[in-house]
Amino acid sequence: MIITLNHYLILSAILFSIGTAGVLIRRNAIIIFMSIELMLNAVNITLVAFSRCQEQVAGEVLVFFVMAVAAAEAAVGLVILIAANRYRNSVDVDEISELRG
Amino acid sequence: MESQITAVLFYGFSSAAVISALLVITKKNPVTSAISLVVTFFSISAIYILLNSQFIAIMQVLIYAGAIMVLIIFVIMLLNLRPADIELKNRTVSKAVLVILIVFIMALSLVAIVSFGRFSGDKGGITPEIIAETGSVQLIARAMFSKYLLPFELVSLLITIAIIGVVILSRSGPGKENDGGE
Repeated sequence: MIITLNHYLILSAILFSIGTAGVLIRRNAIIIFMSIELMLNAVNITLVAFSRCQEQVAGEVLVFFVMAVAAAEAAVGLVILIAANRYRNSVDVDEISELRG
Repeated sequence: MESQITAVLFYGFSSAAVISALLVITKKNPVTSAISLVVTFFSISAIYILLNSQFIAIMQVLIYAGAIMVLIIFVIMLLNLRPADIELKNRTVSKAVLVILIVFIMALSLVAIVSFGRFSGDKGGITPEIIAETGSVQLIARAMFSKYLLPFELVSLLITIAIIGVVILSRSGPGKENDGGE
């Protein structure tokens, strides 16, 4: 029973699909946000698995960059949520449906 | 024997990751979802250890389970969210079933692609023996500060822009005229 590259890729595909389902079926913006983080993590697993399979470090460097961008995205996204909550008193994505200020 | 231990650890941690990921998208209370997401992040960190990538595993715990989850839980507390009454985004059940079906088909095709795919390419020569000898941090740092120096600097620029954006968004929000006493 040897764990190969494909095992890691299948795990990554399952986690990515769960993240997609979360974005599509939930209405709470914070849960949608967490699902996006889940999808980013699934892609990171793919990158590290390929990096190990090809005996390179490029994938791991890329994962580091993805994490840095995810941190920046988390900060900006959550502040936008707080601002939207100030307008609408809700984080329901069905109610935040207009661009007009 | 060693590969069997690896297999047991892989299946244990990956099932923990999948189950807690399912809890993230099904639980009503946002705080429960956030705690489940922390469990997912820790399991994924263990998967990185199995992949012999210690640096990324530590970064996973520090950045995701530490910084980002603290931010998310802080915002949940700040907004004082209640568990939602109506959970599905699409109010009718048939639409929800359709969405789940589409996602299921997507998942099946992804799994089919990766399980029958043959991946080949140039080997870089960073074998597990070299990693054990030199250490994952040193190998990544050497690549990051030589070949990938420009992207590294650009990421720091991006983070600076994000910090400025966060400060501006949180200060000059719409509530500036209304609740100036804040």
